[in-house]
Amino acid sequence: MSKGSKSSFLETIIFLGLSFCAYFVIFLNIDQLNQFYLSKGMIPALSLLGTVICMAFLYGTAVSHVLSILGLDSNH
Amino acid sequence: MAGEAVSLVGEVMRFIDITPKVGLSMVGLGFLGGALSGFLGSGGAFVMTPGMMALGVPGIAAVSSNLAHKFGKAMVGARKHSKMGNVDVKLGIFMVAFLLLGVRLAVILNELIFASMGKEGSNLYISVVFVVLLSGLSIFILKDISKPSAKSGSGEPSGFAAKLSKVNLPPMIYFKVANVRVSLWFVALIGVATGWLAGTVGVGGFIGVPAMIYILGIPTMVAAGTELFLAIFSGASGSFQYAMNGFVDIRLVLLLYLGSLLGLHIGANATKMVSELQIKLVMAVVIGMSALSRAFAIPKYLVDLQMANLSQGVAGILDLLASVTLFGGAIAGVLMIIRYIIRFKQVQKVDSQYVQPMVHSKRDSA
Repeated sequence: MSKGSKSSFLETIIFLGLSFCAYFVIFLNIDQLNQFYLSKGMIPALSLLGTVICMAFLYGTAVSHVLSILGLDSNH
Repeated sequence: MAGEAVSLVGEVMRFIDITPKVGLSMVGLGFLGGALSGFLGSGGAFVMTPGMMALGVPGIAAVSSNLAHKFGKAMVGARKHSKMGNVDVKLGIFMVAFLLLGVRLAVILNELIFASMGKEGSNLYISVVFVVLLSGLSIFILKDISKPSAKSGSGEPSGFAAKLSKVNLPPMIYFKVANVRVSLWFVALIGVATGWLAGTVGVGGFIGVPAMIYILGIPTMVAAGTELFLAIFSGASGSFQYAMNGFVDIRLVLLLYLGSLLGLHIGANATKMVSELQIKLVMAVVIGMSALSRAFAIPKYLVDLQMANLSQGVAGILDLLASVTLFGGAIAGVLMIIRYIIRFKQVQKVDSQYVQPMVHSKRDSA
């Protein structure tokens, strides 16, 4: 395995692990989180959108890396 | 996982309970929407929003959760697309002002309907908008496919669109990247319409992109790139306004991501293996079936609002037909994509088998 593909594999593992942990933590504490997110304020609304962006980034990057390893990456 | 209750002006809405079946359906719905979105280049919301409604999510929660889902996706996607130079920033800035106005109008109208007519009124309004727009769009695409010029891949505006692009209505503005000089009034009209649609049904791109191409005469790639730039603003503005009133269900957004981000990459890859005509055909099938599904759902909402009377049996059949046509259309679309990919691979295999002996025989004769 070359140095480049080794680091790409490591990145994939890291992003997969991070996105799995984030999903696990969010769904484990969803009731408390929803109480905050649905409290109809500017800070909760911004926090909700921040969470959405972070999750899209983490999981999106993980998926992109996995598909790249499988030779199915795209420019989308 | 129990759903929270949200109230607006005394009207209480309850988020759906996420059972394992609902959770898996959301992931599957995300995959179908993502694959179609990657393949067709816009939205996927015309499957995801009605799909969520068919699974029991209130219309306003489906639209707002879809907007938040689209916002996160556009933010991440914009990083890659900004490097491609397909965004006309000047056009984007002009359009954003009108786009935000359209989103604001849609949110006010949607919340007003929800407050006065409840969840059923909101569902009815969203479904009627879907039926009118999607059936019109489906007919337009089918007409475009049947034209001989569509088969030869001509992207030139024709008929009414060509006449509109020649109208000289001041103030006229020149957009460098798109290389067009158009009236600000048309830019404003498209901006408001795209924003209103994004705020009403969760996606505006499926009208915004064709409008930019056919009315403003903007090249397809620049129209798609600029629409992505606009999607960040319409998604941010719409989801923020809905989130301020507690309509965004983060559980749905995250479940959709599980399927959609995977489907998006697969759908985008498939575009390299099919013709423009095949893409349009899939689009017409999915959009047409989605319109039909919402048309089947309308009588139930009318009964809920006590505006019509239907026996429970008929209402049940219509409800079933709404789900069958929606998911059937999306599955048919994905199957068509898979079929085109398999056919492409088969042709490629035959070509390589044909070319290899030729190379060998040339080498032998040399």
